[in-house]
Amino acid sequence: MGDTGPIQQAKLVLLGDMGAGKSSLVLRFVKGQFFDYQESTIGAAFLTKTIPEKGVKFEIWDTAGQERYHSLAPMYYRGAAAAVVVFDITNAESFAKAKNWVKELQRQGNPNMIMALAGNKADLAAQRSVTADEAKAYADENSLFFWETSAKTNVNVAEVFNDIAERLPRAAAALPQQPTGGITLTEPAPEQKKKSSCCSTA
Amino acid sequence: MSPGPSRDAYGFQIQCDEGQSAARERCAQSSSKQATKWAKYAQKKSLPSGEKLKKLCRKGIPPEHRPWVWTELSGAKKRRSEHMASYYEAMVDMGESSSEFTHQIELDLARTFPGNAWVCTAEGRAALRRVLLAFSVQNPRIGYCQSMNFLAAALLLALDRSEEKAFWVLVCLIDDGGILYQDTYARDLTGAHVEMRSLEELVAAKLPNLHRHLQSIGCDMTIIGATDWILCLYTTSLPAETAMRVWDALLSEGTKILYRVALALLKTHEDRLLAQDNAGYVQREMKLASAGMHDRDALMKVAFDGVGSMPMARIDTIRVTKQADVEVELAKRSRNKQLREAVSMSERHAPFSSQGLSSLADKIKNAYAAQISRPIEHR
Ligand SMILES: Nc1nc2c(ncn2[C@@H]2O[C@H](COP(=O)(O)OP(=O)(O)OP(=O)(O)O)[C@@H](O)[C@H]2O)c(=O)[nH]1
Ligand SMILES: [Mg+2]
Repeated sequence: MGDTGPIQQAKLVLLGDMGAGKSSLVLRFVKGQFFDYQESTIGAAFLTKTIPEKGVKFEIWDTAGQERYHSLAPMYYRGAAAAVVVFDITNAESFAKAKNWVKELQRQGNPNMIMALAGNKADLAAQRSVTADEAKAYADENSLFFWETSAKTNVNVAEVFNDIAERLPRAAAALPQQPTGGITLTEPAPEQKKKSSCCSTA
Repeated sequence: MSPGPSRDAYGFQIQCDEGQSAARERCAQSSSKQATKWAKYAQKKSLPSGEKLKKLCRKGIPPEHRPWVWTELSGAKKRRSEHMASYYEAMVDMGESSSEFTHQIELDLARTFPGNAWVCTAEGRAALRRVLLAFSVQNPRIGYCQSMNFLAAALLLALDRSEEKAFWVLVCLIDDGGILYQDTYARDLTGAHVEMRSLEELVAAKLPNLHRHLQSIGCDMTIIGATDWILCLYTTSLPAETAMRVWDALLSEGTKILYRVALALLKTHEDRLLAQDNAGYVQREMKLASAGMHDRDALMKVAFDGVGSMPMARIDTIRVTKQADVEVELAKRSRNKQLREAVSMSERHAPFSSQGLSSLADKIKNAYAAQISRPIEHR
């Protein structure tokens, strides 16, 4: 706080079911825009955004949501300092998928990874099928930040990223990005976790 | 030059700087020259054979002839003639009533080329919906894979909005024994992984400097954009007319064209990519450079003359090795997943009871048994 050190880079990945609103959240955060029809993401898209007050530059990977693209995800979350797992509050299945992502990150991701859970499309509360209480309880149990967001009406979008920025360990975030060293479809085994994550040394 | 958003013949907005506009102009001129060469074949709707056809397709098929030429080249015409006349309609009916992918397809309709003047209309979306639903039941093993929405839309645009033609060309691209590598769109994308790794190997051989640099910053072909190339077949990365030009050659010569074009893009923009020291920026640079490739003649020239020989036999040999690697890794991955599920199930029920332990043992055994790998098939 009050730190005016150099800008630190932090790799952040967005995960979640197709159509949950990952790309829309990123676009809202990075460019302040929203499109009713946001092109489906194939593979992953890369965007950056600096929050000068927090001294952080987010390097954001917005991934593809369809189940079959799951095998590509480790490539993007490997070495990430933070993750935002997104679900659509009008779609219970997307919440179940979000839980799976959290589990996978807990097991395979960087152990110091900061995770946020975003219940998106909060503007559609009338069609809600996941309650805020339910999601909040789950988030608490798993030490995740939780926000109900709307990319469409710009509710709590900046908050998600600000929370993360504040919690980033300065030293860890400053570490250079570790090369991922080629494609691996298999997730690293839990024993190797410490070795393979870039932010485990403080 | 002209102000306001101008659109290309397919209804996509054109975003060009002056140099790119000039290149478009040049390419349009050379394309109209090609049109005269096609006139005699168009008259009889019959294609020349062998080298002659290959050469003609490499120079670009005039857009007005694509509907019949693509259906012929791809095998779609033949395939269609082998089925009852109402086959497509039947698949649409079946898809509409029973496709397990209805929801996913529905989600993607409005998210497919939302900026295109026709695809975003009710008519365009309805056509896209029917083609995708029909495909998903025609080939239920593959069903619907995100990226096929872009392929189907591009086909509709190229083929005079004929759903039936678009459907059959899609079938000829993706079905077993089709033009693309097996299982590229399968439920675990096995084939796409094989293709991306094979491309990686070709890049290492043909552009060693660039490859070394990319490796040192942890940027593999998947990250740089190979999903756009291998799965979307350039429809989401190149300007439409350039992408169609790639398809002209793809449908005539097969998947090696995908490699040739990828190498050409990398080679053309090698300096820009070498200047980046972070995988994300490399991807961004590649996307920008690809979106600006209005000089389709130049791109295809590099693809055909600038990346050296690429015998199919070599590609096939590489694929065999990669296929084996990918299968082992995917099997390991799914076994790990099953083991974890088994453990968490047993923990949830009765952590230390003898019943809990023996059911855990059973589940682990089953997980191993389930992953006795199936024999590897190669094309
Ligand atoms: N009402 C409402 N709609 C939203 C909101 N966020 C996204 N959408 C819409 O939901 C659809 C899907 O959003 P995307 O951002 O493309 O979803 P995604 O998670 O990136 O999906 P994939 O790229 O397929 O994985 C789009 O049509 C968006 O316009 C929101 O907060 N409220
Ligand atoms: Mg997206």
